[in-house]
Amino acid sequence: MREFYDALVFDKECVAFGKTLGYKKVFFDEIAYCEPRAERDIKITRGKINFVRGGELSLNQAIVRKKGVDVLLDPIGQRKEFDTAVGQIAKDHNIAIAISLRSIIDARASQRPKLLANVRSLIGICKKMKNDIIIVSGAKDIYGMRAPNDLAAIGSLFGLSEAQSLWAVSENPRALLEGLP
Amino acid sequence: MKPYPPTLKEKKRYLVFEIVSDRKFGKEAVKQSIWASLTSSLGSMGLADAEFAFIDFDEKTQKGILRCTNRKIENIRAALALLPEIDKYKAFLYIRAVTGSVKKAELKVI
Repeated sequence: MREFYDALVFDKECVAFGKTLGYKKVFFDEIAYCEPRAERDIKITRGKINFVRGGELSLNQAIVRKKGVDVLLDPIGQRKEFDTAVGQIAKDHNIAIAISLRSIIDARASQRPKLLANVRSLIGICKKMKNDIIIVSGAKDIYGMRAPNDLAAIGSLFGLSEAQSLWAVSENPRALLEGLP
Repeated sequence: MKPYPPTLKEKKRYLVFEIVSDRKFGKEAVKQSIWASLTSSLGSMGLADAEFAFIDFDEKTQKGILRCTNRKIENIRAALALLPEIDKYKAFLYIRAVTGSVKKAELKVI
């Protein structure tokens, strides 16, 4: 049977609640999250899975070039902030690309169509460059969490096949966990 | 008029959902939130294509049943996952099961 993982939550309560939703493990203590505004703000913590939130194209380029980054989170914005060059560097440095459900839910109704279009474009590039894609909830409380199959369904909405979507919530997060010292 | 043979009819799926929240909601509030979320995500045409219908909701157990075609089940699931709140309170829909008949779905609601 497939084992599911939610690779990013911001509340300890979510860890226990995740088990009731059907996750094998919800990452909380294992992660180090960083939300830089510029290249100099990127902080890497040893012995943890380093999630770095993306932003503009130049920042995304800086993040994928930085040593120690494990996951580039949400390299999306109002414009297309992720191109094949960034995808190739991420692939070379073994950096996964993550999409959080929270960024989509929190987007204003007027901005959501553009955001969804950009996520679709991002997934298209990731598929072309063969980047590892991870879908996370990014929940701040238990109400931000979703069942594993629902997270996977979001992947298929953006152009991933059913198998790829399930892989994005099971095998790719597990590979991150196995990479820990 | 000759009806469609079963092989040409769309196959339906019934989604049994449960509302996870710290308070209980009425049927109308749940129905309105679900319709609002789905129309904003998929649009009226998308919902028509999915043959979506709100079948029932039990206020005691906070469980309900939705219907759609088996082709569009992933789209409906994704759109339901984007539902952030019901009646301005934080909540989410947890799809407990997907069944092929309404009878089996009703058994799971009780």
